[in-house]
Amino acid sequence: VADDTSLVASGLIDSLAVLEIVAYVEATYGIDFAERGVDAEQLFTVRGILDLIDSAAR
Amino acid sequence: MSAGLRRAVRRVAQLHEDEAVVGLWRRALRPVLAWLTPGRRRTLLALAALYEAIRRPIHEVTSNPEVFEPGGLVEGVALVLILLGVFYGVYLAARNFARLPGVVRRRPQITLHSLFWIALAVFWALPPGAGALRVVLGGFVVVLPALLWRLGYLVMSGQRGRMAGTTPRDHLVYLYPFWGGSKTPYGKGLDYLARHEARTDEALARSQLAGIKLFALALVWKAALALMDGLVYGDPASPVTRALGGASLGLVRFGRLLGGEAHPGLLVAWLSVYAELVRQVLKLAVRGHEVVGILRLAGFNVFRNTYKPLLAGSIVEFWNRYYFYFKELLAEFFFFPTFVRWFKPRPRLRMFAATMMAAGAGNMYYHLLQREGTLLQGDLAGVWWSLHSRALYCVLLAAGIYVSMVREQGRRGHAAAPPGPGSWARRLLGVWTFYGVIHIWGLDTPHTFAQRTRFFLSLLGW
Repeated sequence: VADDTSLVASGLIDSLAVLEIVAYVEATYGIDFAERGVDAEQLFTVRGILDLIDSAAR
Repeated sequence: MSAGLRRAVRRVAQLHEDEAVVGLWRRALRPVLAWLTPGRRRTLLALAALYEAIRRPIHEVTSNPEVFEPGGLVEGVALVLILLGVFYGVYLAARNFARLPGVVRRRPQITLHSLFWIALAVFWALPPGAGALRVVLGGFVVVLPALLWRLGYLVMSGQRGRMAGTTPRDHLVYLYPFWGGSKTPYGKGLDYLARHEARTDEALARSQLAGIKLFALALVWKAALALMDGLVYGDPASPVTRALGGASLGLVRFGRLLGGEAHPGLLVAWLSVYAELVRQVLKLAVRGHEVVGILRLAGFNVFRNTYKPLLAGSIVEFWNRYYFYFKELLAEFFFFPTFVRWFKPRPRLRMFAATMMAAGAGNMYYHLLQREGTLLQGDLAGVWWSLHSRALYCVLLAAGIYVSMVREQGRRGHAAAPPGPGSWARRLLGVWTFYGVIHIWGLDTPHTFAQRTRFFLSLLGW
C-alpha cells in the first residue's frame, strides 16, 4: 500500500474502522483529539496517520 | 446484458475518465483551462461570494416583514459589514487558534454557536419599536444560521492547524457559495475543497466532465420523478398521466396518507411507503447532483451528495450514501467531538453516545436552526410543533445506525461469501422498510405526531 493510497477508497478498511484507528492512536500515542479535533480523511491514508502522530509528538 | 452493451454503458458512465473525451475537452477549451489556474478560479469564486455577501443580507433586511419590521438600505449595509466583520473575526481566531483562551479551544463550535443564541436573546429583549438596532439584529439572526456550519469548518481548519498559507479570500469562497445548496455546506470547508481541487488543466477538464455527467444524471432522475408522478401516482397534473390515459399503479402520496384523506388497502399503503422513499431519494439526488455538478465545473472534484443509497445493504451504508454532506456535518460537528470526549474506556457506549449525539441530538439541533423565522418571533410552541415528530425520527434513525454499525463491526474480519440474490434482496427490503417507515415521522409536512403514528399503526393492520 502506498503512503497516499486511501485505505477506504481501496477497500482495505471501511469508514467505521476510523473509529478504531482513533481509539488506537489515542491509547498508543496519547494523542488527545478533544482539542485538535478528528479529521477522518487524514486517517484514511498511512501518510496522514503518520503525519498526525508526528505533529502530536512535536 | 451483453458484454458489448455493458462496455458501452460503462463508457458513457465513466466519460470523465475516457482519455479520448478528456483529450477532446482539453483541445476544445485549452486557452480557458490554461487561464483558469486554481488561484484565478478562487478569486472569481470569492468575487461571486462577495456579491452574495452583499446581496443576501440586504435582501433579508428589506424584505422580511413577517418576521420584523423591514429596514432600508442603511440597515442592510450595516448588516453586511457586521457579517463580514464576524467572518474576519472568526478567520483571525482560526489563524491564531493556539492562542485562544482554553475554554474556547476546548469548545470552539459551542462558542461560535453562542453568537447566534446571544443575538437571538438580545433581539427578544428589545421592544418592537427599537428601530434600526432591532432590524439589523433581526437580519443577523435570520442570515447567521446559513453561515454557522460554514464558519464552523473555518474554525475546524484552525483547530487542525491548517490555516497556514490561506487567506480570507479562500474562506469567503465557501461562506457564501455561488454553487448554492442549503444550510448544509456542500463541499464542506477549505480543507476538503483544497484536497479535491484541480491543480492542472487536465485535472480541471476531468473535474468539469465529471460535473457534466452529474448534470446529465440529474436530468435522468428528474425524468424518473416525472414518470413516477404519472405512472405510480396518476397525478392529474402530470402530462405522463394524460399520455397514459389515466392508467397508473394508483399509489398514494404521503401527504394524503398522513392526513387520512386516502384509505388504501394494506398492500397499496406499504407500496406507497416504499415509493415515497424512492421519491425522496430521487429529489435529493437531483438537487445534490446540480450543486455538486457546479462545484466540479469550478474545479472541485468532490464526492456526490447522493450515491446509490437505494442499493445499500445496511442502514449505515444507506446513511453514508443518502445525504453525504449532511452526514459529514453531523459526524464532524457532533459525532467525533462526542466520541473523543465521552466514555473512552467503554467502546460500545462510546459509539452509542456519539451516534445518538449526531443522528439524534445534532440532527434535531440542525433543524431547530432551520426555524430561524419562528425562533425570531419567540414562538417556541410553534418551533416545537414543527419539530416534535422529527424527534422520534431522529431517535429511531440514531438507534438504527448504531445497531447497523455494531453489526458491520461484527462482520468485519470474517470472510463471508458475497450474498446471494435472495439474501441481497432481503437486506435491501430491510433497509428500505426501515427508512420508509421512519420517514413517516421525518418528512417536513404539517401533519401531527398523532396523524403520523395512526398511519404507521394502520400499516400494521391496526
